[in-house]
Amino acid sequence: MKKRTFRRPRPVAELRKDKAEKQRPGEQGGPEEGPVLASDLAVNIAYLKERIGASNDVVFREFVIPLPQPVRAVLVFVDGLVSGQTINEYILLTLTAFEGTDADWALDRRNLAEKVKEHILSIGEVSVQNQWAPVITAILSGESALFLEGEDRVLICNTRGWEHRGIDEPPTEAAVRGPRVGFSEVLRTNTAQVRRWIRDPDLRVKGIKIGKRTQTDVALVYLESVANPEVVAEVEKRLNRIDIDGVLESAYLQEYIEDRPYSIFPTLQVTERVDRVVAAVLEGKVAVLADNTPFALLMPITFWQLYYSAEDYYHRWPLTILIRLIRFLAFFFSLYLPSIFIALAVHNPELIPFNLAIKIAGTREGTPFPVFLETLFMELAIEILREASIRLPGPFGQTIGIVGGFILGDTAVRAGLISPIMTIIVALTAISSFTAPSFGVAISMRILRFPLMIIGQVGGLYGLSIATILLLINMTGIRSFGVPFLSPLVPLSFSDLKDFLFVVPRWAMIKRPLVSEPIDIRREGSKARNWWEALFYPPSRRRRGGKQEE
Amino acid sequence: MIGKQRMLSSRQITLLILGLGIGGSVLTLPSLAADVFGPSGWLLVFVLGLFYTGGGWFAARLAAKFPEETIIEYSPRLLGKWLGFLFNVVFILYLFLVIPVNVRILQEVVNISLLPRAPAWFVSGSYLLVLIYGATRPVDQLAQVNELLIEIALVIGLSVSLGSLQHFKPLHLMPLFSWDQIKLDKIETLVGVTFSFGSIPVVSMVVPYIRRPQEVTKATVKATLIITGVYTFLTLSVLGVFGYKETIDLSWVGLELAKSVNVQAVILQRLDLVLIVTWISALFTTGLIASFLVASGLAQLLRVRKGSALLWGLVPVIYYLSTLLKNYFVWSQTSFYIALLSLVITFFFYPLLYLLSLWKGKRHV
Repeated sequence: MKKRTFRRPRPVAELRKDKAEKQRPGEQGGPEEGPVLASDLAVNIAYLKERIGASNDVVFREFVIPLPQPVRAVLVFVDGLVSGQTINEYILLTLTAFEGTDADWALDRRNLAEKVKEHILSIGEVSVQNQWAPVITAILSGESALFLEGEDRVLICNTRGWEHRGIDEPPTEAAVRGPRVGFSEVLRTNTAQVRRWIRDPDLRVKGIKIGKRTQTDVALVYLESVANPEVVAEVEKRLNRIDIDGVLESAYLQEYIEDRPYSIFPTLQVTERVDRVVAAVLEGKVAVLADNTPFALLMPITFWQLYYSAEDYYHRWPLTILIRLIRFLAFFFSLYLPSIFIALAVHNPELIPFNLAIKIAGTREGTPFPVFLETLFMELAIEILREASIRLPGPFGQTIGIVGGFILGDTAVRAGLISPIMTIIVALTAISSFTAPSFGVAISMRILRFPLMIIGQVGGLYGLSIATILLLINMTGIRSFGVPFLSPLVPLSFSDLKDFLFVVPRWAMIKRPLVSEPIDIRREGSKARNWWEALFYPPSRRRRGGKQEE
Repeated sequence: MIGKQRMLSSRQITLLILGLGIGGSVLTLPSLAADVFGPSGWLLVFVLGLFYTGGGWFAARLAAKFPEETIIEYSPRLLGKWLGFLFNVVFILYLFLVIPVNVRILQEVVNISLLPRAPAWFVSGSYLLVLIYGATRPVDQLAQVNELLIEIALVIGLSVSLGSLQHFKPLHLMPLFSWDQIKLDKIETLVGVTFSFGSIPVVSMVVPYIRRPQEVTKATVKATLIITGVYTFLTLSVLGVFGYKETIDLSWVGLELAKSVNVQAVILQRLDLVLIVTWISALFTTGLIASFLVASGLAQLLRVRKGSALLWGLVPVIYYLSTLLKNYFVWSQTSFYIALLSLVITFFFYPLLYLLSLWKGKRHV
């Protein structure tokens, strides 16, 4: 019989020590070691080839700069991430065709990198680096690194220029009126778009790199003279705390920085509309934009803002009031309609007007399922149809949505499996849920609808009342970066009610929303003496010399 | 902005007092008032309300003298160790007894109208659990819940009262001040009427959370005046619609008032059930605030950090008390003793404590 032998496991401390020694680049230099570029070009290139050179998209272009004493140079970049034209015209051509054999400045080889940057390179954005970590990150981000013989510093040239989607109308937030501009997947293009709209020197675009392996660029965008510095600091703190290997979409950041990670309500607003981000920044909010995604995050927000559309502000106020009223009614329907129907039908049919009750009872005659199961089946069928229509390509998706819904509903009614009133209830609920401008809050309502249906079945209207109170208790406990989720309704803020269910004309919105406590609260230059002058007198009719309305 | 300590506005204090004060009494107060004062019952409610406004003024002035403390903390300093302790026990006992009454009213109303076949444990139990869960939340969250619920209940309750005026007959209120119809011998019922106004203790417990403690007096007086106005209007409507004799005989007179409202083309057939559904929120705020005050009062009295654990521990006791008596009408007789506690606290202890604080030279904020 073979004798069983056990190999003694190595102590963890010993393994860690070995790993640390392996990772330590020592004389070779490495990203964790600080200023470790060697002055020997061959050593630097060898190290770089070891780190990233195994990939065939990394290009090492060697050439000579014709100075009085010719200098060997290597340009390193990633093919596909750089603009070929910029590389060829502004770096390679400039350096190789330089007629500087009699250049006095080149006689002294000290600080050669700085001198090349000042005298030869004609590219816009150049920086000098002497640490490996930023050099490698820059190369992998689409910049080019210029290594020079005898120089322990490297020139980083911004040559980014990859293929990307153009600026289109955002498909998830289409509007009848308003700019047809959405974000794209390129962070710099997105921040440039915001900058193009807000030409204020106080606009800050702070960059952070998140993701140990993806090194994703993330930008905080806010107006320094308007946004609450506590909120900005809090956002920055939460972003800096993120320690993951990759950020593929802003949703990754959202889950890390939102206040209530277990809540079904989103506490950040997600948008791909530039105008929406600009409006939020002007109100004193903070926007977080990430590379590789068109979806920006806005904070702080309130629950009601999830039901505001960017378009609300482009229509005249009477229409906006009507739209918002309809939207809030639809919110109520999408959340409560099936459960109230179940509660009334099961526990309190006496509440339904007599003629209607008779009609409903007539249509339900012969249906094999109880009301609750009938509603549940239909709601599930709608959810399945919705999911199927999203997964299928454009025209097919629409077809399956319409045809599937029509055929399924009609056939089920004809077969006597469900009652016609049920198709009306379920269809109205589904249509109502589409009116929510924010996808996140629409999903929350869809999730809540099912437990409410069970509660309606078990506890009737009483159960629904208690469930609503429980929901309110939960929602009042939510804060988005310090802002109560249900404000301005609770706690009541009279000033912010100007932009709530009812809206006032734009000229009457003298102050920014106060819930996020902006530093500069006024967004309108004209002054009003008191609240009714602010509310009912357009600026042109206000008395001159009035004091600031507070 | 992130993490403020003093977070309640004076408006929220007003609404907290309203939230504790306006609740189950709406359904029974007009009957009790008519029983004692006949057709002038609304005047009784109005005068009692004014008295309580005076009591509220004392309570608020006292609270403003100790903006950093609750009454549980400073009463032993003013009354002495043992008498102060005794007062604190009476104070917390009063608030505690409000909770089972509240639970019982809800169970009765739900059982007679919305869910006739539902077992008592299901109705009371589910309500009590949500109530205690809400009461263990932070005070600002509690104030926000109350703010929303009490406003909805007030708007709908007053709309129903206004709607009932279509049947209002001024003759029903006549004669005004007829000594024949005023029965002052019904002292128990008279004291029971005062149960509706016993919401002043809120101010003594929440003053450390108020953003501007100097506004507490205004907020309290405003709240007690609103309660007086609401109850007077309700009693006036009920008496005007039904007449005082019928009012005395009706058990849940608030619901009967809602039933009397006829609105053409309403989606739902019976308005009284709509009133009950919204009135659950008013009942809830009463129980919620009372539970919160009991939890924080007990925590301070027993010097424990978490009053919420104590409150969860009291759930079986509250449930037992709520089911102890046969029916709500026996309970309403018992509410005489609770109302008596409220009277003693408001008209004896508050003025006494205020005078003692003046004597000891404590200044207002």
